[in-house]
Amino acid sequence: MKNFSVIELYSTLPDTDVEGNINFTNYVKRYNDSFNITQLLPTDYQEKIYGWNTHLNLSLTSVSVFFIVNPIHNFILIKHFFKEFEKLNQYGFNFEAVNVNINPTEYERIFYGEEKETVETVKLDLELTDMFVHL
Amino acid sequence: MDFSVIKTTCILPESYSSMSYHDAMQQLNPSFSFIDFITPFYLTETLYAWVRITEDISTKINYYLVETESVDYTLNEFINAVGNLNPAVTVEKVNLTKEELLEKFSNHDSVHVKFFSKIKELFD
Repeated sequence: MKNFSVIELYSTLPDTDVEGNINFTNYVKRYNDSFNITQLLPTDYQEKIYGWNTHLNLSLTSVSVFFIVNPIHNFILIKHFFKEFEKLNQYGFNFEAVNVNINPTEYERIFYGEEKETVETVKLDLELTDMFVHL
Repeated sequence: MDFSVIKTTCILPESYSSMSYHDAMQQLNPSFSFIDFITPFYLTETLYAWVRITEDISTKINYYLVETESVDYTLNEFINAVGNLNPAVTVEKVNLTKEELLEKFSNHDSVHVKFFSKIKELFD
């Protein structure tokens, strides 16, 4: 059993001319071909971040990136992500960083992509299933 | 700084000292929904973050960073909301230095941030 916190980075998309099957990484690659989301993570993230994925919303106007993190590192990671995602402002993004509480239904939606959102699960520690912590 | 700090203090029975503040208060006040209470404040973007701290054995303290412009309204809403809770919760507006706030954000039981952009200057 692991406790965890969820950090969400969200922004409107700078360009709404988006193909329906594109994901966040490929979207950013339109501006920076070498983009990889791990460039925005701390170098020692394996001990702090359990998993993450990205969503473009149904109307393809905004993006959310959800990180499941060790709650001990919650605040320092929010600071880190906010600063790192600011690097994407040059392409027209404007990310906000927040904690979110997720219930089991939202967990399924966010991490298993039940809605027809573009979901890009980059890494997920499967030991986390069915465990929630209220902040 | 464009935010103010509201502090709530609650002394839990020692038998609840091993539980989180949220879980203990939920058990002691099953008809009160903290989520329903707190959600409007961050949906209206008047609540930026909160930190939970334990002092002594079971004294649970919350520091809420709220919008200064509406702090008095928020304070009254907090006072009204917790008025019937068991055990009693005291609510007050406090002045903390930047250093004191940084210390709270470094030593806590939990921290929850709703809008980091609103408080980021505190941590630059």
